[in-house]
Amino acid sequence: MRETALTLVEKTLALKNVELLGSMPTEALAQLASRTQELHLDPGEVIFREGEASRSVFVVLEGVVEVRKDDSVLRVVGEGMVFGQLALTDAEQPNVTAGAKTHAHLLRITREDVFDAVLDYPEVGLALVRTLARAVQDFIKKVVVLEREAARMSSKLRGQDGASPGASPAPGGVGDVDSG
Amino acid sequence: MTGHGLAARLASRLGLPPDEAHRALLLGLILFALTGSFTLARTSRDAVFLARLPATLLPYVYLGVGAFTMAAALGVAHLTRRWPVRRLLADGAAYTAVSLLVFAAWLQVSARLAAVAFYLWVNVYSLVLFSQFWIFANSLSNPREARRTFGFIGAAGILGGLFGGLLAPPLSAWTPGALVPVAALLVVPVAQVARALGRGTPEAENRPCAEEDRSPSAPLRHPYVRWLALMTLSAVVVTGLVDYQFKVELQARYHTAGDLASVLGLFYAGVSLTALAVQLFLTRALVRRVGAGWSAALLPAGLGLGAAVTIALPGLGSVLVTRLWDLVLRFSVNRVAGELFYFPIEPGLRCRARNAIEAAVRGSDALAGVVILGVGLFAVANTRAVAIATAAVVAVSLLAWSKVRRGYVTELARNVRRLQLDPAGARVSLREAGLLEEMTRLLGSPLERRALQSIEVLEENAPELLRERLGELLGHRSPRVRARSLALTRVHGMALPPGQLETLLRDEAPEVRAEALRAQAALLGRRAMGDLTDYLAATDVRVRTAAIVSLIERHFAAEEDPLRDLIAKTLADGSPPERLAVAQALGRRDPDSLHGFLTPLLDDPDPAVRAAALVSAGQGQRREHVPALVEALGGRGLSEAARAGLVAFGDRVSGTLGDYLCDPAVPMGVRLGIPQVLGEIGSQGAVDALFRYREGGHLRLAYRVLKAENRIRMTNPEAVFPRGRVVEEIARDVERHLSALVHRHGLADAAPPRPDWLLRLALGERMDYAQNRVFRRLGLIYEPTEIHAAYRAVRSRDPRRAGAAAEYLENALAPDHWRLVEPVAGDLGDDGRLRLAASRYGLLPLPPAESLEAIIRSDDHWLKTLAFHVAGTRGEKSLLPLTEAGRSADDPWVREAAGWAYPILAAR
Repeated sequence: MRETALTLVEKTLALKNVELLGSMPTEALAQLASRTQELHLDPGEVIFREGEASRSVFVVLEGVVEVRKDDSVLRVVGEGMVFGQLALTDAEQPNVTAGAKTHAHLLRITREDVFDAVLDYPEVGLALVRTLARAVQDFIKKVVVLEREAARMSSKLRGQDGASPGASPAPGGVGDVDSG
Repeated sequence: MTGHGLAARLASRLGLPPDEAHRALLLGLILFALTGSFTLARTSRDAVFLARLPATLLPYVYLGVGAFTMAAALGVAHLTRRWPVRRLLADGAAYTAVSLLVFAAWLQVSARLAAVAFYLWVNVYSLVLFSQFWIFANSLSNPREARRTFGFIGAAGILGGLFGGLLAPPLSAWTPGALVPVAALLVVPVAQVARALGRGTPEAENRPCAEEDRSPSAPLRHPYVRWLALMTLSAVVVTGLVDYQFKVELQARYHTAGDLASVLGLFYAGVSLTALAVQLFLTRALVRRVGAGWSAALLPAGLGLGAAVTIALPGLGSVLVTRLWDLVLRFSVNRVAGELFYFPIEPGLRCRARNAIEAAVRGSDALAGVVILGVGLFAVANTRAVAIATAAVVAVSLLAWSKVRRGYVTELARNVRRLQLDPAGARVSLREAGLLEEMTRLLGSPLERRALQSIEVLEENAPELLRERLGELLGHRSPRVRARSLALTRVHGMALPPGQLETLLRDEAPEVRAEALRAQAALLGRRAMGDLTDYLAATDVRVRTAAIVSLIERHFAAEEDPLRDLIAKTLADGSPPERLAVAQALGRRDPDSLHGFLTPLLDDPDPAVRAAALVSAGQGQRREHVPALVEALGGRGLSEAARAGLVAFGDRVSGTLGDYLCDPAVPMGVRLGIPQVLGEIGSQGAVDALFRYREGGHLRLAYRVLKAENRIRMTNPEAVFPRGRVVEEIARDVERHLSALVHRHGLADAAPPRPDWLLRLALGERMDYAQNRVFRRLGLIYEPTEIHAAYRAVRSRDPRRAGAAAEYLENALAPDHWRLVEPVAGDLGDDGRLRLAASRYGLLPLPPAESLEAIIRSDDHWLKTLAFHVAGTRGEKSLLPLTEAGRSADDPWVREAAGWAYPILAAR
């Protein structure tokens, strides 16, 4: 992992294109940008490991990042997207590992800086709720897909025919790249 | 030239949007035809009447007009609840044309009866048709559009009058009977144009007085409508009186129908010509400059003067001038101003108010007749005697005008608030939402979480409901619910059921015993240490803590020394919860020496204890704790407690906070926290401290200061804000708004994510901030809730709301304040704002390089940062010297951007 320096204006432009932060006024965004840490990662390089509390949110400026649990890929995060939002909650940190799949260029924003932004600009809080709600919806979809898959497998094991309709993975399923 | 071509020329000449110009043109056409027709009909009416009957009969005819038109009013009111606005006007015009043709024939065969009937009918149809026309025009416009276009429409009407007046003498000379058929022909196109104009316009398709629009009260119970009705009624009575004097004097000199028609035709042409001149050169400017209120005073003031002159010098000269003034003003200035008075009334009421007022106006002809006949009872009803009566009615009219003028601003404010269609900002009461009932039901839940949640909600919104269920809650199976209920009795002074406290003091759960101990202390008043020995030695920390707390809160003065020892021991050896309880309990005491124990607690290793100590330190009001409190404002995690502590300290700390606020050596985190504290203190001292801060380059701090001032304005109506300073800052914000607009205009559009796009975005934000600050500052010196409503309306994309807000502001603000804020609050559009920027501040759109240079030379560090970056990406070589200098700027952002751009520019 190495650091390089984008200018403040370049960082601000990058953050302005992130849905979570796009509604913030430009100067506030620049203040947030000035406190971000810029990261360049090579393929395979790890951002945080299972058991580590990251306490930061990451914005992918370039490249692809994978979020894994053991050997399963939970989420693939592409350019302009954010991961690590659960670090903002007081809940126990998820035991996941995040690493670069390709060469990746990220901005790291600490939890405290995001909280400051939410306090001054409630619209950031609303965008955050929207993002988390969408993530919950995605997880529900995945659970439904897995339940159907489990039912199909169970039928198969009992020697019965006919997989239930809709057994094919739904969009946004495991391994899909989120579209933002 | 086509209609659209004419509309385009009108749009460019009057600076109107094309759709407005098109509407104004068609409405003007309708009014031209209506007025032209009416002038011919009226000339014929007066000439026929005065030639066939004596003028002294007029008071009786006025009575007939009143009775007849009142009956007609009922019919029209019935129709307005059933027919759309568009149909009312179109069909009304068609029926009028037919009726005029019928009268033309009848006048040829009947002498006196037809003359009287025609006199009555002309009065009836003109009132109905003109009233429907203005309802129709109102339905298509908003107050701002009305200000811009009604002057033009009124002028077209006057031209129609001029046309009719000039046409009357030659027509009458050719054949006296030709006036009425020509009047009928002129009305025919009105129906067609009204249908075309209203088609597809939802407002014009509405029924003006639909049943469902009815507000519960009758229109005349509304004070504003009542005064408006009285003003209109008295004005019309005066018109009747002046008309009578005029006709009496006229008949004394001219005797044949031909002579009378010629004179009257010329007189009405003269009226129209004068009214046209007034309309073209005076009305628009007058209404824009002094508003509808003052403009409407011209008519009664002039009539009063005319009455006075007539009393002194009765005769055709004085009466003619008074009548001329009456007609000219009614057709020009008063037509526009009078219509504006209807706009702020809510739509359903507006229509019924208009109908009620029209009905009163119709009756006022009869009233004029009654006044003249009444004068005749006491004296000869000659011109002088009627002029005295006129002066008295004018006085009533002026009184009503003054009430309407004041009410207009109030109604405009109500209108702006009514137009806030989204409920944002509205506080929804829990009572209204019906949640209380559900919460009360949940109090009986055996589940601990549900019961506790219900207690929380009800305690905040309806604690009286908890009182009724207290016995049940104290017996709840959950110890937490029992303890929480005991806390309620202490905090809200609720009486416990007999014997319940003793039971709870022996409760198996320590937290309940601890809370029972505190409740007992609250009931008994002072506590002796001896009574609490067992509790002070309890193994459970909660019980022990409750005992210490009850002593700190209510010990006997004689036991202060042993209590000091106990507190010192607790602070030295106690667990964090015990230290926390001590810190909190000290805050519940009145300021005294025991608060000295807070000093070590302010540095306690446990953050919760520190936070509690900060809150209590404020309540203790010891000066030596102020630096710790202020310093904690800038620290994460403790700022909220520090704020609560400083607010509890109260006004005594305002001056000190002002010192910290203005001191650039104080860390920005601390300074940023101070405005909110001062805002919550809310005293005059807090206002003075906030106004000591002079805005510099720190936008966030300046904004927080302003927000705190607004908060005080809302919570403390007694607070006085320095008006001169507020206006001075408004002027600066308006200039900033226009400056950002001019620079944004000078920079070409760019697509994201380019730096020039970001700069244009930032300039737009600067305009928005400046506009927001202007309204916030206006809220300091005017009614804040109404200014806030106006701000939201101005920011909306709905031109009707924005127009209503601008109309309110123009009338509510002092004229110089309105002129000052018009660029950010008026409906000028970007072009109008750019013109004002040039004329008022000499700000002209510049080529991009010069715009960037001007921004770089400004004191806005973020815009400067962006401008350097844009200069680099655009390769603006001319900015190299400034960029070089920017590399050593104090501001790190500016320095970085200039440092980035410099090598790029130097290499070119």
